[in-house]
Amino acid sequence: MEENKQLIKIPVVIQDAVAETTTLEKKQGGIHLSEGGRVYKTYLTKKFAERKSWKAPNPLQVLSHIPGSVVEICVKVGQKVKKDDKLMVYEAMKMKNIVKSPMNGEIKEINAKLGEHLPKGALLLTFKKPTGKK
Amino acid sequence: MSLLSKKISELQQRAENAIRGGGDKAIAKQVAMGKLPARERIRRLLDEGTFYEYDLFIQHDAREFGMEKQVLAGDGVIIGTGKINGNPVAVYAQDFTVAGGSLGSMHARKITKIMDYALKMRIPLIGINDSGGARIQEGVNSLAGYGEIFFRNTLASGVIPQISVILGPCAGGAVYSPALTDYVFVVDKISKMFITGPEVIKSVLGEEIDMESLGGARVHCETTGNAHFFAESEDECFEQIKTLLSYLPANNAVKPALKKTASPSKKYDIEKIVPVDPTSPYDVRDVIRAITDNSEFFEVQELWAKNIIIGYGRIDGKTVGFIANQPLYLAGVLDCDSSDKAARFIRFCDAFSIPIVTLEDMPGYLPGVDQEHAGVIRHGAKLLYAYSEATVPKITVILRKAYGGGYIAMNSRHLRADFVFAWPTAEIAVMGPQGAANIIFRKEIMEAEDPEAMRKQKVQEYKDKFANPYVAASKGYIDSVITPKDTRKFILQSLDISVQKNASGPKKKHGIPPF
Repeated sequence: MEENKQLIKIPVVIQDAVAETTTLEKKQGGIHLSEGGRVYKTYLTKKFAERKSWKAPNPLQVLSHIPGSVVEICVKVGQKVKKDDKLMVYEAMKMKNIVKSPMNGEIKEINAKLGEHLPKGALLLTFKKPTGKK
Repeated sequence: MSLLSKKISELQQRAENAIRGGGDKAIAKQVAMGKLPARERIRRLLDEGTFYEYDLFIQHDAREFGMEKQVLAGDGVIIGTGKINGNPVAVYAQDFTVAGGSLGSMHARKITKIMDYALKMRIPLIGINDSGGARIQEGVNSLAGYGEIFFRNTLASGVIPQISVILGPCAGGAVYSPALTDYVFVVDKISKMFITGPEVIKSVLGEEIDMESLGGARVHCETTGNAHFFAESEDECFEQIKTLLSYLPANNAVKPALKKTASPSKKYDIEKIVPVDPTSPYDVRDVIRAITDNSEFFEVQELWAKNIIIGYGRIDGKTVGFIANQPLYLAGVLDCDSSDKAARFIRFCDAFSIPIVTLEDMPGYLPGVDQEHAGVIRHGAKLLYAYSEATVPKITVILRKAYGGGYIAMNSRHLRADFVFAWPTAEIAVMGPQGAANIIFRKEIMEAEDPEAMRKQKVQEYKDKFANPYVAASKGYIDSVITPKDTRKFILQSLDISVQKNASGPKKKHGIPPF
């Protein structure tokens, strides 16, 4: 497929079940949208074109919710923890925030380094995949 | 058999048929899905024996696609009035067993009838949603029905409390009635709300997601903020509704009912809850419980934007709306979601004459590209607008940090708070000591032989001079510096003083809030 003919679809009916879909074709500058033989010309907004696809979060990863740095690590690799156990102290916005365990499990890896300044969404810690069921 | 008893027996026969809804099989299916039948829901929600039903014999008038041959009991919705906690309410419940609870024109007309009734009688409205959406066979008449409902939701907004209970699917255009109402209740694994479902999203955007992760109860409570109350079961949900209504007035012209007073429980020692070290977190809800009657606090939107707490408690028997920064989450910062959450709550309290108590401990607005690009300016402005606009009694207690723009936004004197109190642990300043010292003393720090030592010294100087409540107190921006133990006393006294508060602004059609 040519670069400027990237095909995507957008919904035309806002309803609950299966909606009709429409093919959208990117052509020089504009977008040609055809639906049941009818053709519309439209443009994608910059925000729509650059949006990130949704990905399911990995329940085994603990991420930072706010920019800051880890000032204390309270667990070790291989340690078994219970839900709500204290994992780390994460300093951000003038506060020593306590990072609690989201689950019962075993620590596989501690990804964040002490004192390192981290952005939002940084990987702090990884849990081991539970064995047995699932 | 007399003629009268014949007539009565015919009525009973007709009523019995209508009450059967979609029939035993459909009801069994509803129960198998883990859902209660619509009539049973109303029975459990209302005070025993108080429900009176209207429009039981409504018939749809669709004549296309073979609809003329179909009889739909009550056209898939039940409407009526009853009582909760002894107070009248209007209620409707969609019946999924009848044509999937789909909304046709007569179905909508029943709903709008009870909405009109609720508005006219000035009593709360509760809508139980369980519907597959528009009744396609009725075409544009079905859409017209939704429009009539949305219009009435807007008309009644701020006049009577409107509650939406999502007990099944609520998809497509149907979601906008709940979104226009004041409080949305959802139940785990039962409630589903979305504009377009997983199938459409997959075929159009290629994103794979299941219904629960897309629009389940948890998602709307934790991620979208569309719902306000999360329950594990329908019964728990009904209890939550009853509790919420106990705090609210029936309409905007009356005050909430007084409840017998009781002191806060001794379990909550206000001096021990908040650490003096401003970098240590704590649960601000414990501070609220140390202030309220019986230490009761009914939290709204508990799972969304947890960095701000909103909810109801009572002081001396009177309902009070609480807004509190929550240091336990995201250091208690203000951001897009927390501003949005608090602003809407303030407007509700203001519309229904509920005084607002603000407990402040926040480091400011959350920095970051995602926040800026998500429009934190626009969302943050909602909070300023809502506080400024509110004319109910407004009381602020500054517990610890009150920095920068956040200080202004959290019901400061400058936005016409009626009373502002601060604990001796309060730090009221234009920004935190670190940042302020770096700017004010940049030259001294840069030119010092040991810049780090100089920085520390200047931070300490700034802390000593400004990180306290006395600078603000010296300007009258706060009324009193109070001990934590006196907090309830001061709030109670302020509420007493403000009973006849009159602070009306200039006449206008309506303001233009930043949404």
